[in-house]
Amino acid sequence: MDGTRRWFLTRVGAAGVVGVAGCTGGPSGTGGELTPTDGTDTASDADDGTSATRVGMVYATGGLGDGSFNDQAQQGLFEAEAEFEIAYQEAQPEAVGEFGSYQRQFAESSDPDYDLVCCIGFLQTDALTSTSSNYPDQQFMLVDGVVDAPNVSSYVFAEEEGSFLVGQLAGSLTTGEFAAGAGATDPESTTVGFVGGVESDLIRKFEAGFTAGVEHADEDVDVVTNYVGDFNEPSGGKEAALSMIDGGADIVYHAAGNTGTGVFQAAQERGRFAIGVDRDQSLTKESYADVILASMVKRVDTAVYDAIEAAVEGDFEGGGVVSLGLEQDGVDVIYGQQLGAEVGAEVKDAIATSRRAIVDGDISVPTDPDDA
Amino acid sequence: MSVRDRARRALRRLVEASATERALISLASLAASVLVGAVIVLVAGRTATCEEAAFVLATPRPFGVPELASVGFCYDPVAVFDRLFLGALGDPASPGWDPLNGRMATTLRETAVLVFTGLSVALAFRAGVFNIGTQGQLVVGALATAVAVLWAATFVAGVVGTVVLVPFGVLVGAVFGGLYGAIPGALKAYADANEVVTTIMLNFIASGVALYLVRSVFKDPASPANQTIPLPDHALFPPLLFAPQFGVSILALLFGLLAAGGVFVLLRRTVFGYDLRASGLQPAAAEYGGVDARRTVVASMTLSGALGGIGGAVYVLMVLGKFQTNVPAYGFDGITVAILAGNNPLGVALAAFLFGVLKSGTTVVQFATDVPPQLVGVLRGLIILFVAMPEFFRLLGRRVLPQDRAGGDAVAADGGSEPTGTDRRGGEP
Amino acid sequence: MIDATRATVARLVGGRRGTIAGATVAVLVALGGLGLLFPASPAGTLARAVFAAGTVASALRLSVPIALAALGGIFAEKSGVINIGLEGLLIVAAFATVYAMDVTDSLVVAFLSGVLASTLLAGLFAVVCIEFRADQIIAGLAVWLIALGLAPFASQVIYEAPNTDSVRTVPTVPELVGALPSAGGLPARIDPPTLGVGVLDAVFAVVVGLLGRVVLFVAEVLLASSLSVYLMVLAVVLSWYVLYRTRFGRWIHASGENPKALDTAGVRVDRVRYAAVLLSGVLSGLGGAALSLGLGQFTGNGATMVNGKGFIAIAPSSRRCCSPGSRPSRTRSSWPTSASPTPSSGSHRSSWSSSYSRWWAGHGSRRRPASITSPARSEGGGFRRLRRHGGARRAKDDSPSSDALAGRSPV
Repeated sequence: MDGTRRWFLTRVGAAGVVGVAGCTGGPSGTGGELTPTDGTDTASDADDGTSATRVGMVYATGGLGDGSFNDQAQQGLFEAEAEFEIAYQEAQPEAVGEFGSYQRQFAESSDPDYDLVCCIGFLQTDALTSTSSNYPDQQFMLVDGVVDAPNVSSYVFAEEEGSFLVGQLAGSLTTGEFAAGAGATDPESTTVGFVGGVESDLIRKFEAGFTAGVEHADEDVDVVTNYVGDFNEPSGGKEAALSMIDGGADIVYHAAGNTGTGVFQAAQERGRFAIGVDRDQSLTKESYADVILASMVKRVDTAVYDAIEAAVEGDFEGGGVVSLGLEQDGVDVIYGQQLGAEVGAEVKDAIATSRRAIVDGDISVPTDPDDA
Repeated sequence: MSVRDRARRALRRLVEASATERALISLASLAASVLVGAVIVLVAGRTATCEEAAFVLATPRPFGVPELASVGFCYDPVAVFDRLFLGALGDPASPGWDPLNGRMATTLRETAVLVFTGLSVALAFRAGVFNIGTQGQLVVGALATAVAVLWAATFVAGVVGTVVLVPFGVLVGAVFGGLYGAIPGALKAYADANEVVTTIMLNFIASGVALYLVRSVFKDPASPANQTIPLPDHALFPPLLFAPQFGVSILALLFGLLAAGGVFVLLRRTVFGYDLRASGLQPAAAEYGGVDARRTVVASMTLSGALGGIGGAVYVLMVLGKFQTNVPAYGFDGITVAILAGNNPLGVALAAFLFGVLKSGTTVVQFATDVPPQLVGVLRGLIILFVAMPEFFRLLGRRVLPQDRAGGDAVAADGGSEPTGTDRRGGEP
Repeated sequence: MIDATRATVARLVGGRRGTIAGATVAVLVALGGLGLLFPASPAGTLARAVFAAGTVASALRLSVPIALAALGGIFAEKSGVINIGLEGLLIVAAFATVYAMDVTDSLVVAFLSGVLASTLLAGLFAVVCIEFRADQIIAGLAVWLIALGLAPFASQVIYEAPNTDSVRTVPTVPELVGALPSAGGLPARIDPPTLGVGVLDAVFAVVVGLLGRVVLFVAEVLLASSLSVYLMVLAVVLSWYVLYRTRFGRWIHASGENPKALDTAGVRVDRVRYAAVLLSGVLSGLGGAALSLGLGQFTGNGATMVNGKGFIAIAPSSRRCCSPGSRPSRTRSSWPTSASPTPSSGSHRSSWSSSYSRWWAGHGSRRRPASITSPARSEGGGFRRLRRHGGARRAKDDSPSSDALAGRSPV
């Protein structure tokens, strides 16, 4: 939905720069000729209406435009905006030390008074632990971390479960001969790759699930792993993926935020495949749809939407931990828009079987790659 | 012309200008960058699209399209700077202002760390060494402090613990930061390595090694983040006046002011300070006068690194309460602080406060307006740009006040006669 | 002829730079040898990684922005302006390129926009430094900081995020020329022709096998490289030519080494410096464009995607880096007492450097810098004046030839 808006803004912006600044763009209310209005402007929203539920967003470092984690959270906000009468304000901290400042600022604010503050990302856990106890009347929601406080609703995901499924997909395809879109597997090679952002327990859950899934599909397939050390360094992701691909890996899965863009690019350049994360990246990174086999979606948007919905309807319940796994549709595998149809039915069936087995508890997926 | 010579020249110029003039230039730079920043905000406000104008210029502008009586802008420059400067202090003009508010706390918190990184850069600058590696020294000092204090905190507790642990932590930070600063100092003195290059590279090394050590050795098993185990409260700077959640301590701030005074005295009143300044200004003359140039370089870099390390210790013991990877760029901000302060230790304290305001104000701007907070980064650059060209203001001043001959003469003495403004000439005139 | 050969040899092995290069080569050879002998050892693994075509191609790719910015730094630096703002030039170019690409979808327009943005900023830097006599280090830092704020600011205004949308990337040669195979599509080895004669076949197998590996390796690197890599190579060659084989190049050297002489020769020093700084903007612009179009996105968080590459680029262009004459140990031990500088000389230039150069002027006859005299010999004209001043140039110059001569052969 925001794709067309971006496109439009881009062109408008270009006109503004190319022409004499001040002749195009600008506000539609006074003097401006162009009026792109889809109501996502925050300040004007915050100004009108008094009944609207006010939501504060504190994103993870790395910022918006990462095509995965933060954008997915924003997606939930947009969905809620379309559904309910809400007004929101967004903050994109640059460093971990700023999380507390922003959380506090939202909590302290009385004009407007925020009904809910959404904290995205596990790095906010510590800051929120102290903020939530200092502002007991403020409702918070936290994604990817747990704060045990009566005014915080925590959402955690079973990333390893979704990763298991895409691991199985990769393990099944790498051994055979598979060609679709701009990519093809190398039947002689039985290697797949995993590119992580910053090595941390959370990202290791992705790796653990992926590795277990690959092994579930085929014991003989090797998984090569690399942590780039950053969630927003696509060039690092590209080099990591290229070296994996040149070393024989034909499918690379990433859990690295915007760093993963480089992974897609490497796959496209070498005619191999990649697996996206957090969102259906064959949609959000459309230019790479011809190499994205599937995406392990993590419904951060659902978490944000649910929390906002609860706040709007006045039944927000803090103190709980909402675990979102395969069973709750919190994580899932979504096949690529372009390549999904090419994946064989037997592979999909096997993955569907595993999915049921995980939900039923017949397969237990490790959360630490060292335990796998 | 080498980087070092440039730095030396910078130093010389800044020293030659009188303190008042430097203060005036800094203020004028601030004002000029605010003006340019406002223009940028307006241009961006026409480039961006929004529903309602946040700011309207109602008077017909000389360059405006004639039929437009008023032009709307998406961003309001007045609001931006109002939020940036007043918001950062918690709106001192509004009734019922509490000087101990959260915004002020953030400002002072940033100030406390920036004083040390600014002093670190300024001290090295004074010795003719351009230390871009304060960031790395801060990271090393911070990690060392976090680990050492965590270990020591098991032995003492309570108020006694605070009295013992905080100075201990600061000392550890100073030692490790100093040792890390000594590396580029020694490389420069004994291997003729360019300190700009070595310190930049050592920054990368510091953050990489810190990530590795935290990840594999010192990690807090209870946290998903790459961080050390949080320190107990009695090992941290006591918050005193401010509420504890603000992460600011008046003690740390006072310590910073004390350090600024200390460096000032060190530079002005001690033999070592004299040697250091002499090597910065006139290395040849200093050497001729019996100063061991190499030892001075190593010593000043060690001291500079120690100040950076103390900055890291303050960051750990006051702001975070633990070490976590991805330390904010205090070290780089320290460079801008030092430049704005003209490398005067007392000026550093003021400049650190201004940058504290800018950093704290960034969050307020992001919170209260639609203007992208990156604007503050642009402002920071503009301030430094204007500080770099005092000639611009002198020209301006001469044009506005043509009768002020005295000022003009002073400029000539300082600026020299070469219109190109560089010193790359072969022989003496 | 013999002199030339000696100079070449001295250039190759001489100087500290030569030592460093030699040591690097030696380490690589040792690694390769160990890897061949013990393929199973860690050395073998490392050797396979280092000598893989993918690694070399990757190294080339990653070096593009750094090399281009460094070339720009050299131009500015040789002309007497140290441009520490290369990082900032890379940043604005990286953003402007992606934005232009997004709007026009034209590779050429995108590159030109990046170059334009970078050159404009470099122009600002030049005006500030040359017109307003700003301190170059501080102004350079300011350029970096302004860009560091401006590019993410613009991205936030236009894309509502510090990271831009994804755009097309710079194609590799096979992507442009469909007839060529892609890097991955090359055969694993070249099979020698079989003639049916046992001995010949064995010889062929060895020769063709070895040659084939080399050819395939080179071909793979070339095919995997994007146009940016070729652009970089082209820029290096052109820059060398301009700096050492053209009149303009000599002006640049002269404006850095002996501006007075250049002025006497009737060339406006400030114009040469403007040109050099603008050129550094052009080259950095190409570097920034190659960087962001190598990826198809600009990421503006933290230190942005440039992340220190511009600072690394300063290293090779910084004279103090490897110049033998600039060692404090050597100069200070024999510091001339007569040249004690006076701080109140009325000139803003650093007395340190002027006394330094005066000292060298006294020793000038001992080592005559080759880089100035040789081109001057062929051209002449107003430039001859410069030659006479040649001995007065500062010893800190480390243009390769003089460097090598100075370090290795105290004639």
